Amino acid sequence: MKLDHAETREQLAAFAAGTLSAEERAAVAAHLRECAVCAREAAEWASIRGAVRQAAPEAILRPHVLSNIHARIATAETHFNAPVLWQLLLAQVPLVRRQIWTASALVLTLGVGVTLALRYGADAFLVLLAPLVAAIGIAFIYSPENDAPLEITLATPTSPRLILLARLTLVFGYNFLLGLLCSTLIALNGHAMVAVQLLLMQWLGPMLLLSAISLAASLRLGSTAGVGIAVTLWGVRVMMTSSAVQLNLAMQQSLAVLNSTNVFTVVLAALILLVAVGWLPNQEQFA
Amino acid sequence: MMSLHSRRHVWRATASPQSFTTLEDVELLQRVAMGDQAALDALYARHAAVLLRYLRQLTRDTLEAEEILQDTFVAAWTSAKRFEGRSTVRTWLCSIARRQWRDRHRRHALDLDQNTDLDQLTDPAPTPDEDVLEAVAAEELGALVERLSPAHRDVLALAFVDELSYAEIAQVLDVPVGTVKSRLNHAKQALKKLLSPREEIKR
Ligand SMILES: [Zn+2]
Repeated sequence: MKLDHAETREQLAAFAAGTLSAEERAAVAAHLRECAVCAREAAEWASIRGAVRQAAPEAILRPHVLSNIHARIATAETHFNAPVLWQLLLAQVPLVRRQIWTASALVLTLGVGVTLALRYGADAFLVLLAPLVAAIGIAFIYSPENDAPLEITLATPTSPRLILLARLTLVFGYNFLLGLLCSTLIALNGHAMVAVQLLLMQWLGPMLLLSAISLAASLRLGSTAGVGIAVTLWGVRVMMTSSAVQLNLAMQQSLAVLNSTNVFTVVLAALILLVAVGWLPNQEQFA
Repeated sequence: MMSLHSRRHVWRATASPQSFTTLEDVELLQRVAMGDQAALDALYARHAAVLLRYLRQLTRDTLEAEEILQDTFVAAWTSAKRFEGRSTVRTWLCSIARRQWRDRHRRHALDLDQNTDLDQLTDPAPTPDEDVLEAVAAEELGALVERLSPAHRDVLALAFVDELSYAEIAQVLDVPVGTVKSRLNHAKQALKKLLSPREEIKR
């Protein structure tokens, strides 16, 4: 490699900094032996290098800087960045029982079919089915006693609570989307004289509430008990809503609150969920 | 959160600090992306001293430099996943440090990044009788460096403290390589100007 005067001048700062490759270095050095102008400028850059390093003296890394970084990382971690959460969610897909996906879809397809076949009370069918299907699915998302994949998951360093929340998000999200799809189909067909959002308001709150109860029960008492409790509660609710049972006004009103989507149902579901997740045994007990 | 402690614990157990010394920066950063705090510590051990010197040059204030150094490694922790390997890890860390500093000093940042009109000027050819720089003691010259504009201190520190190549400086500053070269030359001229104001007036 041979550098002319102009090319060499461009490289002199890097030459002084020591960031050139061996080959470039040799080429610059060769030119410097022949060119007094460049040699002088190279010396200037060497002075500047010394001055800059003088102006930014070797600083002592005080230990508190690193410990502050650790502390800030620990607090920053509670809000996970999206990619991590997304990966966690995706990792749960194969671990959730496959039957949950097909069962929910089958039942709701049946529901939509029946709804479209019937002329009246069409929307009520979906409103009755969607929350129950979701709650039953959720009773199965986390059962340490008979869940082989769970052990694999726990071998990876992720908290069981986080896994639980990820699966909950998946299964509930899936059922929510199914319900939304069914609502849209029904509304589009014009069988029910309701808009999608009105239909949604009828089943979303009960779905949240029943799913939270089902999760709490399944975590404490196992999946079967979770299903049993959800089905029983839902049965009672259906019976009470039907005209066969006589209710006083207060009961009718509270039932109306429970049967729609409102602040009360959402907050109650969230509270049950919090207690359920808080109850979850620690990792050590699984290991 | 409980999970984080357990996660950290697992990593610590599998990777002893010794094994880190053989790992490349990029491998360390991959581990950081997976949440390995010990890998971040290893990167810190390798690069923090140089970054602190660089930041000290930008801020001229040790305490602030330390704060930005913290910001830099916290930012590196959270954005390690986004490292695409288009630069070296050191260059990437310098970019983060510089961005953290710039975010703190938006006003300075303006005169830093709008320095391009300066860059457009042609380089004056060196004149043989200008050996002023060599005659001055490093301490004195160092004090003058502190009086340079942020843009000039920045480019000089990247070249001589961080010891980045022109191409790497160009990545950090997000300017063409040619601009790096001319900015370095202008920093040199500015330093000479500070040293011999009378001579400059004569010209
Ligand atoms: Zn020459």
